[in-house]
Amino acid sequence: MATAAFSSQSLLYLETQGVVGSSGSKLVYYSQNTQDAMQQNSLGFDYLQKLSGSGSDFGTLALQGRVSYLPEKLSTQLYNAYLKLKSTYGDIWIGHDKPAMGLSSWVDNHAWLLPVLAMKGFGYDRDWGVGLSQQREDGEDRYALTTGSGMSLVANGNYLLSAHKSWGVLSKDNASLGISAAYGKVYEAMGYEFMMDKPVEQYLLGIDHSYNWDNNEWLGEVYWGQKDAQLAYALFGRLSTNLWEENRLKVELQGILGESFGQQLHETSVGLTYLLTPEWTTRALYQIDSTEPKFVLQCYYYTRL
Amino acid sequence: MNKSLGFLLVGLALLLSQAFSAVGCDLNDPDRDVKRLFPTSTGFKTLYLSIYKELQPKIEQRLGDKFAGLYETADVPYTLYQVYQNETLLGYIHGVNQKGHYGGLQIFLSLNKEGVIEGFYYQKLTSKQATVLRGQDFAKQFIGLSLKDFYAFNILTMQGSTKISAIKNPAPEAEDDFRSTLRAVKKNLILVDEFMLKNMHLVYFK
Repeated sequence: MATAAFSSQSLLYLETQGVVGSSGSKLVYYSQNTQDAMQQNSLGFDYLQKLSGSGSDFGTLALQGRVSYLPEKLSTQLYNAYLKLKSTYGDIWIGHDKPAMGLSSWVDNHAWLLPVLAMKGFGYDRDWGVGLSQQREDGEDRYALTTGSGMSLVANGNYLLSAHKSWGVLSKDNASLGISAAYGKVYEAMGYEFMMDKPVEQYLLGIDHSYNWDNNEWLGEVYWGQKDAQLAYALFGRLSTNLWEENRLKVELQGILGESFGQQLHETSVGLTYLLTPEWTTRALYQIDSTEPKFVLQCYYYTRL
Repeated sequence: MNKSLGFLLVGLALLLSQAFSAVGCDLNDPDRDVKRLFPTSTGFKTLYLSIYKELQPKIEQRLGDKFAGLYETADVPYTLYQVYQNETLLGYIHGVNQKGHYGGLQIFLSLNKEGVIEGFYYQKLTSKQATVLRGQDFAKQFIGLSLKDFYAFNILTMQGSTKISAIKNPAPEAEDDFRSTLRAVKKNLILVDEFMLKNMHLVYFK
């Protein structure tokens, strides 16, 4: 009998985005910094393959990358590149995935215009190495041993040990609370660029919290520790309200405050997200920090092939 | 160079605008959730399913309502979990997105091999009455029901099958979400019937 439905064990998505804005009087084609990986004009893919035997999935293969373009500069960016295997101890991943630190260890921020602390030197969006995640009835434990180099794979005596324990699952319980600890000799990285020649000793302790109520969402995170024997701390808070039919419009207010390598961090952002269709999303960001105010527009397309 | 790359990106996106839309409905933590819904299970397989566009009017006819909104199109990739005890199939877990009062609901059902509901739960629900709606007293009312019962129930008029009419809304203030829940359960059952059960319940559709 001919079927009107079809199935597979893999997903392949295409993503493309256009980013344009102004920073002071300058026209820009990125959301944060030319060296930062996110967000820039880009074309990318997101591939997920379930691996299964006769009675069960035993793993997942994930590959996600972009080709991005800034005026006169074409570059490739690799995000997910991992093999995740199920074991009696939990899920073990090897490759390029999220280290076990704070909100960035579980929040999918791949398309966001508003930055998270992982983009401010407190953790990494992705890092190379191995990790273990164990799901409990009331939350999850994550551990990772990674290179502490972020997007670039470098071995120069650098490493990062990280652990994250959380209670509650945001999308199920409408709330979660997590604690993080990280120690290592790491590179201060921004995208594929290192801010220093050599890795430095770092330890960080963190608390993260998320909460949804009615049509409102809250994300908060705090880090405290040392980088190269200097005080490092950061506070992050984002309040979002979802409006209109099917929450098509999201209004966000975010603040970041902190200090890293003796430099003060203070940044206030306002964001708007509007879902045009299931595939097309538009976002706008207005950001004030110690430099010139920034205004950025993004048109983002994500679809299954 | 600048302009040509921009045109290339936009052109490619437009060319691909007939591709599948992006948003599906996955379990947050499949290992934990499958074990909770099927305690004797030893594993599961994940399948990504889609319906062809020409099937959508038939699904809508069986549902008794049109698909509407951002996350309810023919193109949505549905994630279905086949649950096993060693190599023996125990049943299925399948979730659907549904428009709720405060944004989207995600409603999962665990079903035996015959498509009878063994478990019901909201994965995503934002409501002042969330605690009551997520309660076991409400979830239990769905256990034992199948598409046979839901085919006899009109989700627009909320009339028909006495078994479905007997489901009590534990939060009268959340009438929107209650109605949406019944609609989502019926849609979920229709899709599993189509995907996995060779439409074995279609004989009950009138």
